[in-house]
Amino acid sequence: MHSPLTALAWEIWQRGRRAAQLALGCAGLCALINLAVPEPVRAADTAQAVFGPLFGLLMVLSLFLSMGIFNYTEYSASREWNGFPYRLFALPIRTWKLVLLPMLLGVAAVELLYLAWIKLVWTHHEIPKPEWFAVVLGAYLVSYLAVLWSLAGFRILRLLVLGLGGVSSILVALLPFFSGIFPSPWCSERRDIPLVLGMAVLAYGVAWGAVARQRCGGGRRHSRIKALAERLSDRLPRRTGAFASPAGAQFWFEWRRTGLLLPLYAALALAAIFGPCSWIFRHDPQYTLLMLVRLLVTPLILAFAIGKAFIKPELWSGDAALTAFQATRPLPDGEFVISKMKSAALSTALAWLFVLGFMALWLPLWADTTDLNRLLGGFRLSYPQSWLAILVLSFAGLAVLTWRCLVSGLWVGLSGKRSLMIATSCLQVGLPASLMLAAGLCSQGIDAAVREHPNEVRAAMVSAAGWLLALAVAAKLGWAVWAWSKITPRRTRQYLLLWSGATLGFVALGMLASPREDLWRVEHLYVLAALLMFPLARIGMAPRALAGNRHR
Amino acid sequence: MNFPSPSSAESVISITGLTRRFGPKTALNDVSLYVPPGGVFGLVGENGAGKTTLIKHLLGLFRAETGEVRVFGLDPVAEPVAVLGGIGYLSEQPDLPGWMRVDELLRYTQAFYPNWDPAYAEQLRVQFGLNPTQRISTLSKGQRAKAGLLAAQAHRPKLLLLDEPSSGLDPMVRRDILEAVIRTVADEGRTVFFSSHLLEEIERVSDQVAMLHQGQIVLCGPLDEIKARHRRYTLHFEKAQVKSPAIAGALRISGSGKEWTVVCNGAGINLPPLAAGLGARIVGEQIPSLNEIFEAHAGAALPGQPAAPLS
Amino acid sequence: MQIHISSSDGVPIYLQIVNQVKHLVAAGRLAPAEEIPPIRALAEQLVVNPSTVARAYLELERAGIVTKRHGSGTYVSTSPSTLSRREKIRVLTQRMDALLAEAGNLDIDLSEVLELARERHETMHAKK
Repeated sequence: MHSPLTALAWEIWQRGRRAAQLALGCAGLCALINLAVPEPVRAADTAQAVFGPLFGLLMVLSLFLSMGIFNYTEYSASREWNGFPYRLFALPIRTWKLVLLPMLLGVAAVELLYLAWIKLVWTHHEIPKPEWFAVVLGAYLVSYLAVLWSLAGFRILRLLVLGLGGVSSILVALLPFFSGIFPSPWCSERRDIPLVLGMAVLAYGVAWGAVARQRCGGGRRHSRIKALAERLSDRLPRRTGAFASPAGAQFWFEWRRTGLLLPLYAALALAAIFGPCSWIFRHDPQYTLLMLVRLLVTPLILAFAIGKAFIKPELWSGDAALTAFQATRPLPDGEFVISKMKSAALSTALAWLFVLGFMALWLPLWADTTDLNRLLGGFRLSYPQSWLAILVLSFAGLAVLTWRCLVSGLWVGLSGKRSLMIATSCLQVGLPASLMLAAGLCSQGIDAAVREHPNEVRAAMVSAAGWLLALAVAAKLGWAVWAWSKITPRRTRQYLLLWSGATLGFVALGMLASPREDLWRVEHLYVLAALLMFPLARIGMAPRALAGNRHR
Repeated sequence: MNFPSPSSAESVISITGLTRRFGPKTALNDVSLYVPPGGVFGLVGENGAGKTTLIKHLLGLFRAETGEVRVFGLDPVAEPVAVLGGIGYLSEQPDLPGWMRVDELLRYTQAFYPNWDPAYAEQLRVQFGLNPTQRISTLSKGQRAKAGLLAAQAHRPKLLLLDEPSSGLDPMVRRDILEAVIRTVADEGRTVFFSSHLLEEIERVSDQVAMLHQGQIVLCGPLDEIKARHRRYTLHFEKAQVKSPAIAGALRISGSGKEWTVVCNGAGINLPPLAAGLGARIVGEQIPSLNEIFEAHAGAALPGQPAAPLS
Repeated sequence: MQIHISSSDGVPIYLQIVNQVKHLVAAGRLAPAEEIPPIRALAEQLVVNPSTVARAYLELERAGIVTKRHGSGTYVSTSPSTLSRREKIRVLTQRMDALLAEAGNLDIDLSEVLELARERHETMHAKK
């Protein structure tokens, strides 16, 4: 090691080796595809529709991975927070250098990765203004590190700021493209690049100040806001009576730890994004429709993201191990799982309550609902008797899907096996990616077939879908039988009741919402798909996974 | 070495032939232990000897790879609720959730144990000086240990399991822990299983002692017997010895010049003739403290291998 | 009853308790028919195992220094020791041997030892 820079670079490489290899692998794979697939195939419509999102998805993934590698923090036991590595403070290096080196390395690595993507994959200049994006990317990394280090003691606030920062940086990145809609001097690239660079320098300054203060023993962990929040929460009416049962106590524990996260994020999204945007665009009828769709999808996306952490025994810890405190509770494994499921259900209900409340205020009061009313009118004409039932069932279905996002991974997270968690995540990303890849490779053939024999293609797709769904249902039921074999009959009965009720709801939705002229005879597909909606086998596996984690 | 082996029905803890490996390292090697009800059982051993691993087997946190573990006659892995409901556990670093307040911790823990005595818990809380509205993350290390001890004791468990509870704590907190031990065992039928580095504490409160060395039990039995069995002799040689004298069967030999100290298991060797053979006379014979016995065994080789005297 | 146990002493704990109680009785700080704390209370006070205290009390009872009354506790005995005279002499002989050996080590001759014994006897009885 000849200099602090190389030493630091080596350390970061060692820690993030696997993630770096994965990120480079994504880029390499797409570069290979780009090189291998011949030109005329790429130009076809289907190919463009498939390869674009595929490459986009993998690029975003690789950039996320590289950001994760440069999440240069360490847990400091004395302060009990995750911040700038405390042990580096003892090195004979000035603070400004100590802060600059990881930032430089991070920016260099991310820019190199971005360059690789631009030069090797997006060779047909699909990305407009690549330099602008490079600048925004670098600036985002610098501000990301600044937020990580300066808000080290404030875990929840840090998460919120990072989320907001991510969203606002996406908006900033898209700013020059609005120059058509808003002819404003702020939307020109030439003006914005220096501004963004200036903000990056500002972020560096903030990080330097914060780390310097932490080095000299500062860095308060108890801010006045936090103290105020604690005093407020102390004043709130708390339950002072004893818990009715161990299950009740465990539910309280789970709710306190994880319950308010989803509703909080949903409320924040509503207040910070949907509220202002709906006000700004209140005279645009088309925007209303678009925003409504996004609003309904938001809890699902939030639940998907939060679910990755929720499935672990302790949401806020880095790994999925059980603490001795939890493992020595005299509570059966099933009760742990049930308390998590109940907490998730209450979270989901609260989040959806906020969303519905916002809709109830927004749509009548200040939205331009001309397009929406037209659509709704047409809908009521097509389904004169059942439109209300369809609406209610749809909302219920969305809520159930949100709950499923939180809970269906419990059998992975509670098992405590990191390899299983990584494998399932890879599968979740890899399966759609490889499907898209296959579609892209055969795009010429698919285009030709669709043009020449549309009916046969349709019939083939319907029958293929039917077979796949039937196989999936059979696999699910088989797995469920094995998974629930170890669980007490009483609990199995209760959960089966719940499962049947929810599945019937989905089936009813499918039946009611199917178009009256069933040209393609896809009704059976609805039923099969409804059977797959509610998690059954995975929930049954969860107590077994927890037992494996608890008794190693 | 003969270990007492009452039937499983009598023992509170019954471990038979337990072996546990972590990769290439053997943490426990054919360990057998029986703890009778109504006493204090002390477990000593150097760092890495396997004490924590043993205690985790009792709590069901580890499955027994080979051998059998029974607590109250039940398997902790097969019936965790029944076993854990009768155990009060305090570990070296009690990982109590930092976000809870003290009163919330007590209310939460109370729900799991039907024998919880609220009046007793309150009395202990006042005695320990814990503020009920304080968050656990703001408590000092000693206060956290006291909070853990409170949660472990208040339901008057049949078995109090302490895993090096006093490490790093000041004497006042250590005294509180020992008082908890005494109070537990003074109630008829309740047992304490106590592992510690601080041998003075073990010596004060234990009825029976076992010593783990590199995953094996090298000593086990009532404390008085163990102490009575061992002897510390001081030998005075006529000629100054350059290197340590070779005395077969001695556990530990230390000293220099003419004066040498030998710690040995009195039943194992008969020192006077050996000493006379080497040209020394015995000038002192005492009962060694548990500390010295422990050091002697920790430095010595395992039974079955030749002794390697330290000089 | 103020007793202090030192765990790093070579002497077993129960023996320390026995010796200190004997000393208290001999010095008059424990009067005859005075109650000594029950086993459990003394164990908690000294932070030692109750069985050790029980053993000490058994020794004291055997030596005749305390008597145990069923249900109402343990009291310093009023009657003289029930040990036979031979046993009493045997106990004292052990102590005398240790004392004389120590005196020999310290190079103090017998006349000085006897003088010292007379002095200490007078001091102890004067305090009563």
